[in-house]
Amino acid sequence: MPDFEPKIILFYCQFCPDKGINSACASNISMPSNFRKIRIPCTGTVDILHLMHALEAGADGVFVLACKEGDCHNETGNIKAQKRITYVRKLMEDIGLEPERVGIYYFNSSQGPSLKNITQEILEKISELGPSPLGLSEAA
Amino acid sequence: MIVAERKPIKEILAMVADFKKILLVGCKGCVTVCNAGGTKEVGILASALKIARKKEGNPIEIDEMTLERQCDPEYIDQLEEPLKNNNYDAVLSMACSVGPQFIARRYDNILVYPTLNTCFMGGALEHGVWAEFCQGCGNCIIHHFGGLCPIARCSKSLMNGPCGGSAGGKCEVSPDIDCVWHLIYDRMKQLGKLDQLREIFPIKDWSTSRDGGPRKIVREDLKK
Repeated sequence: MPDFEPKIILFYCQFCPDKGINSACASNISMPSNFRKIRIPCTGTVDILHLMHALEAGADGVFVLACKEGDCHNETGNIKAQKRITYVRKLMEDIGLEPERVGIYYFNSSQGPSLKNITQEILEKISELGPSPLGLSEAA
Repeated sequence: MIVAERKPIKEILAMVADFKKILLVGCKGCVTVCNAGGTKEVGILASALKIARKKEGNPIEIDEMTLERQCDPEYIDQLEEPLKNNNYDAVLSMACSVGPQFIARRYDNILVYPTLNTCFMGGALEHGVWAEFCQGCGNCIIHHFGGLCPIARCSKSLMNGPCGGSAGGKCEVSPDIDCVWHLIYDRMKQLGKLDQLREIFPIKDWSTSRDGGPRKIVREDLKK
Protein backbone atom coordinates (compact mmCIF):
# COMPACT_ATOMS: atom_id res chain seq x y z
CA MET A 1 0.00 0.00 0.00
CA PRO A 2 2.54 2.58 -1.15
CA ASP A 3 0.19 5.61 -1.07
CA PHE A 4 -1.12 5.01 2.41
CA GLU A 5 -0.14 7.76 4.80
CA PRO A 6 -1.59 6.87 8.20
CA LYS A 7 -3.40 9.57 10.15
CA ILE A 8 -2.26 9.26 13.74
CA ILE A 9 -3.69 11.05 16.75
CA LEU A 10 -1.11 11.39 19.53
CA PHE A 11 -2.07 12.57 23.00
CA TYR A 12 1.01 13.56 24.96
CA CYS A 13 1.59 14.76 28.48
CA GLN A 14 2.82 18.31 29.07
CA PHE A 15 5.52 17.11 31.43
CA CYS A 16 8.14 14.43 30.52
CA PRO A 17 6.92 13.62 26.97
CA ASP A 18 6.64 17.31 26.06
CA LYS A 19 10.20 17.93 27.24
CA GLY A 20 11.33 14.82 25.38
CA ILE A 21 9.70 16.04 22.16
CA ASN A 22 11.37 19.45 22.58
CA SER A 23 14.73 17.82 23.19
CA ALA A 24 14.21 15.66 20.09
CA CYS A 25 13.47 18.80 18.08
CA ALA A 26 16.72 20.31 19.36
CA SER A 27 18.45 17.26 17.90
CA ASN A 28 16.66 17.81 14.59
CA ILE A 29 14.29 14.89 15.16
CA SER A 30 10.84 16.08 14.35
CA MET A 31 7.43 14.48 14.63
CA PRO A 32 6.19 13.14 11.27
CA SER A 33 3.67 15.47 9.66
CA ASN A 34 0.90 12.86 9.69
CA PHE A 35 0.91 12.81 13.50
CA ARG A 36 -1.71 15.13 14.93
CA LYS A 37 -0.35 16.00 18.37
CA ILE A 38 -2.61 16.91 21.27
CA ARG A 39 -0.82 18.25 24.34
CA ILE A 40 -2.68 17.46 27.53
CA PRO A 41 -2.12 18.32 31.22
CA CYS A 42 -1.58 14.66 32.18
CA THR A 43 -2.29 11.36 30.42
CA GLY A 44 -4.69 10.66 33.29
CA THR A 45 -7.01 13.15 31.57
CA VAL A 46 -7.25 11.05 28.42
CA ASP A 47 -10.72 9.65 28.56
CA ILE A 48 -12.06 6.51 26.89
CA LEU A 49 -14.42 8.79 24.98
CA HIS A 50 -11.49 10.81 23.53
CA LEU A 51 -9.92 7.62 22.19
CA MET A 52 -13.23 6.31 20.86
CA HIS A 53 -14.17 9.57 19.16
CA ALA A 54 -10.79 9.74 17.44
CA LEU A 55 -11.28 6.22 16.08
CA GLU A 56 -14.87 6.97 15.14
CA ALA A 57 -13.70 10.06 13.21
CA GLY A 58 -11.51 7.76 11.15
CA ALA A 59 -8.06 8.02 12.72
CA ASP A 60 -5.89 5.11 11.60
CA GLY A 61 -4.19 5.00 14.99
CA VAL A 62 -4.64 6.66 18.37
CA PHE A 63 -1.71 6.69 20.75
CA VAL A 64 -0.75 8.16 24.10
CA LEU A 65 2.73 9.30 25.03
CA ALA A 66 2.99 9.11 28.80
CA CYS A 67 5.57 9.71 31.53
CA LYS A 68 7.35 6.57 32.62
CA GLU A 69 6.01 4.64 35.60
CA GLY A 70 6.88 6.50 38.78
CA ASP A 71 7.48 9.77 36.91
CA CYS A 72 3.87 10.95 36.61
CA HIS A 73 3.53 14.41 38.18
CA ASN A 74 0.07 13.42 39.31
CA GLU A 75 1.32 10.04 40.57
CA THR A 76 -1.02 7.70 38.70
CA GLY A 77 -2.10 9.52 35.52
CA ASN A 78 -0.04 7.23 33.29
CA ILE A 79 -1.40 4.12 35.04
CA LYS A 80 -4.96 5.36 34.52
CA ALA A 81 -4.18 6.02 30.86
CA GLN A 82 -2.82 2.48 30.49
CA LYS A 83 -6.02 1.03 31.97
CA ARG A 84 -8.20 3.09 29.64
CA ILE A 85 -6.13 2.02 26.65
CA THR A 86 -6.62 -1.61 27.73
CA TYR A 87 -10.38 -1.02 28.01
CA VAL A 88 -10.60 0.52 24.54
CA ARG A 89 -8.45 -2.22 23.01
CA LYS A 90 -10.78 -4.86 24.45
CA LEU A 91 -13.80 -2.97 23.16
CA MET A 92 -12.18 -2.70 19.71
CA GLU A 93 -11.47 -6.41 19.73
CA ASP A 94 -15.10 -7.13 20.60
CA ILE A 95 -16.38 -5.09 17.66
CA GLY A 96 -13.81 -6.46 15.24
CA LEU A 97 -11.50 -3.47 14.88
CA GLU A 98 -7.78 -4.11 15.28
CA PRO A 99 -6.89 -3.29 18.91
CA GLU A 100 -3.32 -2.47 17.79
CA ARG A 101 -4.65 0.81 16.43
CA VAL A 102 -4.65 2.07 20.01
CA GLY A 103 -1.61 2.09 22.26
CA ILE A 104 0.56 3.79 24.82
CA TYR A 105 4.28 4.58 24.88
CA TYR A 106 6.34 5.82 27.78
CA PHE A 107 8.80 8.58 27.11
CA ASN A 108 10.78 10.96 29.29
CA SER A 109 12.70 14.17 28.82
CA SER A 110 16.09 12.50 28.48
CA GLN A 111 14.92 10.19 25.70
CA GLY A 112 14.57 12.79 22.96
CA PRO A 113 16.42 10.79 20.29
CA SER A 114 14.24 7.70 20.84
CA LEU A 115 11.21 9.66 19.65
CA LYS A 116 12.16 8.63 16.14
CA ASN A 117 12.03 4.95 17.11
CA ILE A 118 8.60 5.38 18.68
CA THR A 119 7.06 7.22 15.72
CA GLN A 120 8.69 4.75 13.34
CA GLU A 121 7.26 1.81 15.28
CA ILE A 122 3.78 3.36 15.27
CA LEU A 123 3.97 4.07 11.53
CA GLU A 124 5.14 0.55 10.74
CA LYS A 125 2.41 -0.98 12.90
CA ILE A 126 -0.36 1.11 11.37
CA SER A 127 1.00 0.75 7.82
CA GLU A 128 0.90 -3.00 8.31
CA LEU A 129 -2.73 -2.81 9.46
CA GLY A 130 -3.67 -0.51 6.58
CA PRO A 131 -6.21 2.33 6.57
CA SER A 132 -8.93 2.39 9.18
CA PRO A 133 -11.86 0.32 7.90
CA LEU A 134 -14.09 3.23 8.83
CA GLY A 135 -12.80 4.71 5.59
CA LEU A 136 -12.76 8.27 6.79
CA SER A 137 -9.07 8.84 7.39
CA GLU A 138 -9.32 12.15 5.52
CA ALA A 139 -11.56 13.45 8.28
CA ALA A 140 -9.17 12.60 11.11
CA MET B 1 -27.69 1.28 44.97
CA ILE B 2 -28.58 -1.06 42.17
CA VAL B 3 -25.39 -2.32 40.57
CA ALA B 4 -25.39 -3.21 36.90
CA GLU B 5 -22.93 -3.86 34.11
CA ARG B 6 -23.08 -3.42 30.37
CA LYS B 7 -24.13 -6.39 28.29
CA PRO B 8 -21.48 -7.78 25.93
CA ILE B 9 -21.19 -5.45 22.94
CA LYS B 10 -21.89 -8.31 20.52
CA GLU B 11 -25.23 -8.97 22.22
CA ILE B 12 -26.17 -5.30 21.88
CA LEU B 13 -25.03 -5.24 18.25
CA ALA B 14 -27.28 -8.23 17.55
CA MET B 15 -30.23 -6.36 19.13
CA VAL B 16 -29.80 -3.39 16.80
CA ALA B 17 -28.80 -5.37 13.71
CA ASP B 18 -31.93 -4.39 11.77
CA PHE B 19 -32.13 -0.79 12.95
CA LYS B 20 -30.97 2.40 11.26
CA LYS B 21 -31.81 4.96 13.91
CA ILE B 22 -32.07 4.47 17.65
CA LEU B 23 -32.34 6.47 20.84
CA LEU B 24 -29.87 5.46 23.57
CA VAL B 25 -31.06 6.57 26.99
CA GLY B 26 -28.89 6.66 30.10
CA CYS B 27 -29.90 7.18 33.72
CA LYS B 28 -28.35 9.58 36.25
CA GLY B 29 -29.29 7.34 39.18
CA CYS B 30 -27.58 4.20 40.49
CA VAL B 31 -26.10 3.18 37.14
CA THR B 32 -24.25 6.48 36.86
CA VAL B 33 -22.74 5.90 40.29
CA CYS B 34 -21.66 2.39 39.36
CA ASN B 35 -20.30 3.61 35.99
CA ALA B 36 -22.58 1.41 33.94
CA GLY B 37 -25.20 3.66 32.35
CA GLY B 38 -24.54 7.36 32.90
CA THR B 39 -23.91 10.05 30.31
CA LYS B 40 -20.34 8.91 29.77
CA GLU B 41 -21.22 5.25 29.33
CA VAL B 42 -23.98 6.25 26.89
CA GLY B 43 -21.32 8.09 24.86
CA ILE B 44 -18.93 5.14 24.90
CA LEU B 45 -21.60 2.62 23.89
CA ALA B 46 -22.96 4.91 21.16
CA SER B 47 -19.44 5.39 19.80
CA ALA B 48 -18.68 1.65 19.87
CA LEU B 49 -21.94 0.80 18.09
CA LYS B 50 -21.36 3.47 15.46
CA ILE B 51 -17.79 2.28 14.85
CA ALA B 52 -18.92 -1.35 14.53
CA ARG B 53 -21.72 -0.50 12.12
CA LYS B 54 -19.66 1.96 10.07
CA LYS B 55 -17.00 -0.72 9.75
CA GLU B 56 -19.63 -3.09 8.29
CA GLY B 57 -20.67 -0.41 5.82
CA ASN B 58 -24.08 -0.25 7.48
CA PRO B 59 -24.00 2.94 9.58
CA ILE B 60 -26.45 3.54 12.39
CA GLU B 61 -27.69 6.87 13.66
CA ILE B 62 -27.74 7.10 17.44
CA ASP B 63 -29.18 9.95 19.49
CA GLU B 64 -28.01 10.11 23.08
CA MET B 65 -29.97 11.25 26.11
CA THR B 66 -29.61 10.76 29.85
CA LEU B 67 -32.62 11.07 32.13
CA GLU B 68 -32.51 12.13 35.77
CA ARG B 69 -33.92 8.70 36.62
CA GLN B 70 -35.68 6.02 34.61
CA CYS B 71 -37.64 4.69 37.57
CA ASP B 72 -39.97 7.70 37.90
CA PRO B 73 -42.75 8.37 35.36
CA GLU B 74 -42.15 12.16 35.28
CA TYR B 75 -38.68 11.63 33.83
CA ILE B 76 -39.86 8.98 31.39
CA ASP B 77 -42.31 11.62 30.11
CA GLN B 78 -39.30 13.60 28.86
CA LEU B 79 -38.90 11.03 26.08
CA GLU B 80 -42.21 12.03 24.55
CA GLU B 81 -40.87 14.89 22.40
CA PRO B 82 -37.80 13.06 21.04
CA LEU B 83 -39.92 10.01 20.25
CA LYS B 84 -42.56 12.13 18.53
CA ASN B 85 -40.07 14.16 16.51
CA ASN B 86 -37.82 11.34 15.38
CA ASN B 87 -38.48 8.16 13.58
CA TYR B 88 -36.57 5.85 15.90
CA ASP B 89 -36.58 2.15 15.21
CA ALA B 90 -36.05 1.41 18.89
CA VAL B 91 -35.06 2.78 22.28
CA LEU B 92 -32.10 1.24 24.07
CA SER B 93 -32.02 1.85 27.80
CA MET B 94 -28.83 2.03 29.84
CA ALA B 95 -30.67 1.91 33.15
CA CYS B 96 -31.27 -1.06 35.42
CA SER B 97 -34.07 -3.31 34.23
CA VAL B 98 -36.64 -0.94 35.76
CA GLY B 99 -35.81 1.74 33.17
CA PRO B 100 -36.65 -0.15 29.96
CA GLN B 101 -39.78 -1.52 31.63
CA PHE B 102 -40.93 1.99 32.53
CA ILE B 103 -40.26 3.16 28.97
CA ALA B 104 -42.18 0.18 27.53
CA ARG B 105 -45.03 0.81 29.99
CA ARG B 106 -45.30 4.47 28.98
CA TYR B 107 -44.82 4.18 25.20
CA ASP B 108 -46.63 1.28 23.61
CA ASN B 109 -45.53 1.89 20.02
CA ILE B 110 -41.75 1.67 20.28
CA LEU B 111 -39.45 -1.31 20.76
CA VAL B 112 -37.39 -1.12 23.96
CA TYR B 113 -34.17 -3.01 24.67
CA PRO B 114 -32.00 -3.29 27.79
CA THR B 115 -28.26 -2.75 27.38
CA LEU B 116 -27.33 -3.51 30.98
CA ASN B 117 -27.53 -6.61 33.10
CA THR B 118 -28.93 -5.65 36.49
CA CYS B 119 -26.79 -7.54 38.97
CA PHE B 120 -27.50 -6.75 42.62
CA MET B 121 -28.07 -4.23 45.38
CA GLY B 122 -24.71 -3.31 46.77
CA GLY B 123 -22.01 -0.77 47.33
CA ALA B 124 -18.51 0.16 46.22
CA LEU B 125 -15.73 -1.59 48.14
CA GLU B 126 -13.28 0.65 46.32
CA HIS B 127 -13.29 2.60 43.07
CA GLY B 128 -14.27 0.12 40.37
CA VAL B 129 -15.22 -2.73 42.74
CA TRP B 130 -18.81 -3.35 43.82
CA ALA B 131 -20.22 -6.10 46.00
CA GLU B 132 -23.65 -7.38 46.93
CA PHE B 133 -24.93 -6.32 50.34
CA CYS B 134 -28.70 -6.73 50.21
CA GLN B 135 -31.11 -9.21 48.72
CA GLY B 136 -34.26 -7.18 49.36
CA CYS B 137 -35.90 -9.83 51.54
CA GLY B 138 -38.37 -7.24 52.83
CA ASN B 139 -37.70 -7.87 56.52
CA CYS B 140 -34.27 -6.66 57.59
CA ILE B 141 -32.67 -8.66 60.40
CA ILE B 142 -29.04 -7.51 60.19
CA HIS B 143 -29.13 -6.07 63.74
CA HIS B 144 -29.11 -9.67 65.01
CA PHE B 145 -25.83 -10.28 63.21
CA GLY B 146 -23.70 -7.28 64.08
CA GLY B 147 -25.06 -5.27 61.17
CA LEU B 148 -24.00 -7.80 58.53
CA CYS B 149 -26.45 -9.63 56.31
CA PRO B 150 -26.20 -13.42 56.26
CA ILE B 151 -28.90 -13.63 53.60
CA ALA B 152 -27.17 -11.58 50.91
CA ARG B 153 -23.58 -12.21 51.93
CA CYS B 154 -23.59 -15.92 52.85
CA SER B 155 -23.60 -18.10 49.74
CA LYS B 156 -26.13 -20.38 51.44
CA SER B 157 -28.03 -17.61 53.27
CA LEU B 158 -27.47 -19.45 56.56
CA MET B 159 -28.79 -17.75 59.68
CA ASN B 160 -27.40 -19.93 62.46
CA GLY B 161 -23.68 -19.97 61.93
CA PRO B 162 -21.31 -20.96 59.14
CA CYS B 163 -21.37 -24.15 57.13
CA GLY B 164 -18.46 -26.58 57.04
CA GLY B 165 -17.04 -24.87 53.99
CA SER B 166 -15.76 -21.80 55.79
CA ALA B 167 -11.96 -21.81 55.96
CA GLY B 168 -9.54 -19.06 56.80
CA GLY B 169 -12.32 -16.50 56.70
CA LYS B 170 -13.20 -17.41 53.13
CA CYS B 171 -16.23 -19.09 51.57
CA GLU B 172 -15.89 -22.49 49.91
CA VAL B 173 -17.64 -21.11 46.85
CA SER B 174 -14.70 -18.85 46.03
CA PRO B 175 -11.59 -17.58 47.78
CA ASP B 176 -12.70 -14.11 46.62
CA ILE B 177 -15.77 -14.28 48.87
CA ASP B 178 -15.43 -13.47 52.55
CA CYS B 179 -17.30 -15.86 54.83
CA VAL B 180 -19.84 -13.47 56.31
CA TRP B 181 -20.21 -15.73 59.34
CA HIS B 182 -16.51 -15.30 60.05
CA LEU B 183 -17.05 -11.53 59.82
CA ILE B 184 -20.17 -11.74 62.01
CA TYR B 185 -18.27 -13.71 64.66
CA ASP B 186 -15.36 -11.25 64.68
CA ARG B 187 -17.68 -8.27 64.91
CA MET B 188 -19.89 -9.73 67.65
CA LYS B 189 -16.76 -10.63 69.61
CA GLN B 190 -15.49 -7.07 69.26
CA LEU B 191 -18.85 -5.75 70.38
CA GLY B 192 -18.91 -8.15 73.36
CA LYS B 193 -22.12 -9.68 72.05
CA LEU B 194 -21.02 -13.24 71.28
CA ASP B 195 -23.72 -14.59 73.57
CA GLN B 196 -26.32 -13.28 71.16
CA LEU B 197 -25.09 -15.78 68.59
CA ARG B 198 -26.06 -18.67 70.90
CA GLU B 199 -29.70 -17.87 70.28
CA ILE B 200 -31.19 -20.01 67.55
CA PHE B 201 -32.62 -17.79 64.87
CA PRO B 202 -36.09 -19.06 63.99
CA ILE B 203 -37.06 -20.05 60.48
CA LYS B 204 -37.39 -16.82 58.54
CA ASP B 205 -40.73 -15.75 57.17
CA TRP B 206 -40.03 -15.35 53.48
CA SER B 207 -43.48 -14.05 52.62
CA THR B 208 -42.04 -10.52 52.52
CA SER B 209 -39.50 -11.66 49.95
CA ARG B 210 -40.22 -12.90 46.44
CA ASP B 211 -42.24 -15.82 47.82
CA GLY B 212 -45.23 -13.51 47.95
CA GLY B 213 -44.95 -12.65 44.24
CA PRO B 214 -44.09 -9.20 42.84
CA ARG B 215 -44.09 -6.68 45.67
CA LYS B 216 -45.61 -3.26 45.98
CA ILE B 217 -45.47 -0.55 48.63
CA VAL B 218 -48.39 1.85 48.96
CA ARG B 219 -48.01 5.01 51.06
CA GLU B 220 -51.46 6.49 51.43
CA ASP B 221 -49.98 9.68 52.93
CA LEU B 222 -48.08 10.32 49.69
CA LYS B 223 -50.51 8.92 47.16
CA LYS B 224 -52.61 11.37 45.14
